[in-house]
Amino acid sequence: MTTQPPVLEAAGLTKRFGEAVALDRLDLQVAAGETVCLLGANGAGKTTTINLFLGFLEPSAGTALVDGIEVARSPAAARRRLGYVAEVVALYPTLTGAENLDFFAQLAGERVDPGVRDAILARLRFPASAIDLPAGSYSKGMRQKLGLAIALMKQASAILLDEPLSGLDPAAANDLVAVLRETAAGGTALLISTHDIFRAKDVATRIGIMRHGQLLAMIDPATLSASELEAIYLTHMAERTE
Amino acid sequence: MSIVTAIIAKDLRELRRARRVFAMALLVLALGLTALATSYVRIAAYESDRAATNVADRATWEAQGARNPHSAAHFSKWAFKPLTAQAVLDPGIAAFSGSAVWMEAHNRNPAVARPIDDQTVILPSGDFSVAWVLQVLMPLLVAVIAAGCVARERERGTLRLMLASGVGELGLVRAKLASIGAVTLLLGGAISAIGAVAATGAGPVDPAQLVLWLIAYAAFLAIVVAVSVAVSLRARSSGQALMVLAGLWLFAIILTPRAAVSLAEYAAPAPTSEKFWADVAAAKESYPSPFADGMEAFGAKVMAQYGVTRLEDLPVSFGGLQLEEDERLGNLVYDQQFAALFAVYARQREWLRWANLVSPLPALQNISMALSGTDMPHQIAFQQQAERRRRALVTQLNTDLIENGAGADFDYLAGPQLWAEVKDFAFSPPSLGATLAQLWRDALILLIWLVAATLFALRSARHLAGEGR
Amino acid sequence: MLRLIGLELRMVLRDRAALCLLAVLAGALALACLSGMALIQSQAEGRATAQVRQSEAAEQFRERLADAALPPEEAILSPYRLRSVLIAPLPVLVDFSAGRAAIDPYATTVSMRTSRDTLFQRNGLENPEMLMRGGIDLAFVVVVLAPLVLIGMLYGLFAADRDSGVARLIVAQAGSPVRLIGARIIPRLTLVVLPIVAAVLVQLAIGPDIAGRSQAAAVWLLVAALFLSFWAACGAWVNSLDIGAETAAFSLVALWALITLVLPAAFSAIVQASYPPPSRFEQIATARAAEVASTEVYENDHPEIASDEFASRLASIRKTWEVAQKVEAATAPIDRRFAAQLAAQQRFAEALSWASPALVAKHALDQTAGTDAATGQRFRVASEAYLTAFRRYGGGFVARGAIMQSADDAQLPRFSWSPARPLPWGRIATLLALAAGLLALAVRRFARLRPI
Repeated sequence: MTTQPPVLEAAGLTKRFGEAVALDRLDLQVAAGETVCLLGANGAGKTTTINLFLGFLEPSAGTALVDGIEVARSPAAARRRLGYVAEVVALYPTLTGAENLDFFAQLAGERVDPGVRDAILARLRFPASAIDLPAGSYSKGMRQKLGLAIALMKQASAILLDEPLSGLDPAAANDLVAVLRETAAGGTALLISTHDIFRAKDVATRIGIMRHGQLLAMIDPATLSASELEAIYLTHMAERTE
Repeated sequence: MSIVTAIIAKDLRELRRARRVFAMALLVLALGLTALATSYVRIAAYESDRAATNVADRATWEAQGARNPHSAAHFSKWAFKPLTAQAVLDPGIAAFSGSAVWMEAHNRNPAVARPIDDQTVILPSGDFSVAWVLQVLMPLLVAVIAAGCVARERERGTLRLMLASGVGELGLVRAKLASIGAVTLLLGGAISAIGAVAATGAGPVDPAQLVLWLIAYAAFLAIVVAVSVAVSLRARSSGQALMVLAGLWLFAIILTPRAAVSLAEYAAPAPTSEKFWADVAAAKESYPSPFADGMEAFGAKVMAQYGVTRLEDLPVSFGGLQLEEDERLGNLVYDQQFAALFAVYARQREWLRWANLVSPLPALQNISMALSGTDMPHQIAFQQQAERRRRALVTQLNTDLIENGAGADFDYLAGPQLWAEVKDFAFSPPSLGATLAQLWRDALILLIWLVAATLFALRSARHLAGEGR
Repeated sequence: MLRLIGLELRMVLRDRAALCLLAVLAGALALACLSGMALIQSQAEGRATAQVRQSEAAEQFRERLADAALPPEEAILSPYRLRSVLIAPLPVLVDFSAGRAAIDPYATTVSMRTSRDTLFQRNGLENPEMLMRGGIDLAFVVVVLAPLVLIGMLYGLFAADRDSGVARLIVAQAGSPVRLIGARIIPRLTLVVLPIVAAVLVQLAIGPDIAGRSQAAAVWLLVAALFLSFWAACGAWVNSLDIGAETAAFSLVALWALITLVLPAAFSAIVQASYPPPSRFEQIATARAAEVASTEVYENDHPEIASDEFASRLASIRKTWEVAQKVEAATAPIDRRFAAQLAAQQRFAEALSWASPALVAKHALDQTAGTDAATGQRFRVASEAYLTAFRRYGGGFVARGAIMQSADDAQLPRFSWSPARPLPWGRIATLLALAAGLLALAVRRFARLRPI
């Protein structure tokens, strides 16, 4: 149990779309240096949670806080403290990787230090020769890495990642997981949505199992084996159909 | 139902449900009908006004009492240009050209009473009329409708499904041409057909001219449909297709006619009014005036002609003869100067035709205005007929003075009998044959554009190769 | 912010479609400059010809008055030999905005025989076919073409990012996209305005040296910049709506068509229906009827052949002058009624025009250039006033039966008219308000944007 004040905090966070409840009274805290993975099937509420923290959606009830700032009241201020990696990292295809980085850094009010940039890209094992190629030529893995580089260069308090490992080959996924661990070790809070149980166990300090907008359980993966974790997950998923 | 028919039916259903396209189509239709109503009222009012003015002025002319014929030749009469019923469809240059000529002695006056002199709202491309709606707005509407006809199918992935269903590439293109063509025919046809009916209600109409007018617009809109479908076939996205078509519309419909005017003005500049009338005055002065430096010679000639030795012995009015001689010399100058001016206009018209290399619109405009009786040849015909009437009228009055004014000259007074003998101006428009003879080049240009646009669309079917695999 | 602007500028310059659009704009500006040069040359030449005529007429008339050998029966006709050429000054920016320069008369000759309805009878020789199609001048480029070029460059200002999915990252990175929108508008607007500025500078450099031309050009550029800023604001506002790039493109093109084509067309119809133009035919016929009714015996125009005697000639020109005054008196109410009807129509058209930013901009540009309808109208009014003074002067000699002497030439009324140059502050303020208002709305929407 962490004693540091949470970087990300959701209290009774709820989102309804008409009659449908996409997120139901979520209580969640992510401290600095923590990595929380939200595990669940499609429609579980993982992406909704991320969108609420980003201020892309207005909550129907409850609050989302980033470094104590209520997102709904000051979305711009909250976003300045957040990094974001989408499931599909959208870049400008005619700009090079370096230009994309520079552009998004400019948006965040940062200047790109080439040394810092290169160090981050080296950590991500991003091919050095590719940084000056148009982003339209990048593979999915390269796009995800560049997306993470954009988030890392922002030096945010927390990074929100939406299915960052989806569609990646094992090598690229390993590279990303290694960097995520390092980032968390550096004090950044990470909130990751995924439905990859095994990768979640690799990277998370806590795993939240979600289903139909509800956080069903919060698990410490260090105390469980991968198969035990899988069994718990499947149990929670199966309970609904009874 | 064949595949091609199914595609057409599906396209029409989609278009009906596309709210923005529907709204735009309604707006264009409303504007077309408003333009028609406005033109109809304007033409009807104009013709009624002209008829009333002719009657009133005839009464004024005949009621002028006892007057010297030359005085009456200065008071003279006016020639008012009639507008045909077809002008309801295309007012052409009517707003920019004079519709009234004062047929005054000694002076060949230009046509005055240009509506543009009294108008403050000038549209970016012509007078508000059915022709304007069909020439300017309809192509933009067709571009909007057609931009996504293939490109959006490509974006959605339904293009592959269609091709995979067995319709060939050419079949698909024909289907798209047919569906866009059907909508264009519906809208453009509705506006044109209602316009044609309105024109027949406005006055006597030559059915052949009306049919040819409709055919010309059908050809023009067919060109627009073919080019639009071709662009949609080649574009990567419907947004790109729309921007390209909007650019082509801007270039061909808005910019090219104006650029052609700039080119024509540069290549064949018309003289300013100042220069023209200065040249007329200088040319007149070069002839010996029968009232001044040429009087002696003229007098001698006249005396020899009548076999007398003194002007006082002439059996006719010498003053009248001088006036008629002055008219004759002046008319030589006017013939020369106006022929040169009209030749400049003709050269400008030839330069304007070069614009047809990049747009079919100038050719259509020439055909449309000619068949509506509102083009430059009709205007020049009016001015030349007014001039012939003027000369006949002045000669008639001078002859009366010559024959009856011996000894009295300007004290001789003619009466209502003479005024009643003077005929009013009646305009005979050029025949359809003469009009068509001038239009063959424009018709050929339109035909070439139609063939080229159709071929372009059919060849663009190649861009569908590989989609179905 | 500057770096962001620099980045955006590089992106625009790599976009082939944008470069094509700018090339079209440059081509149109070049053509507009050439047309402008040709027009100003033609207008200057026309005025020079008129000036030569005025000088020659004045010289000839002075010689006539100084000719001691001129017999009295010839000298008494001097008022009817008098000619004066009225010339309007060259509009200060006629090569920028042709306006009504090719339509309205700028010179005319008056004599004792001239009446109000024949004052500008000999103008109007321009080719109607060319007038109907219109030409390309800088004002046309600013009002019609440049907005479309700008639309082509910024229709996907943020809508394209929505389509591609980059919008979410933009908002996540920046907090709100307002700064980015600003960084995108500035280079695009600059790339469209700069060529126009260059064209203006070229025209100023090669054009004639007229007092106030540079100041007028500065105001003209201000109007152009504000109008294009209005369109940039439209682009920003449309992109702040939750729509894709294609819909944004359609909306902006539709807005352009509405403001530039449809509204003026609709106004034309409304003006026609509400204030049908008074009939020139009726004016002609009514004036002629009044003329005939007011004269029992019409004047003859050749007093020199009517009689050789002084007394007969004097009687003849007295009759001529008397008839002319009667005709003037009879036709004045008709002309006043006509002018009032026309003025009412024009006032209504002018009021309606405020509803279309394109017409607001066009009028402002023409007014600054001195080629608007009001300037032409003021020249006509000044000419008519001069005609009255001129005829009264000549008529005085006729009424007194006095022969004009050399010293009388100095008393002849001279025509000197300078167009008032009111600046279009109302229209400038309107464009500024529209641009600022739309931009403020767009900024507000972008600040609250949620890219889902």
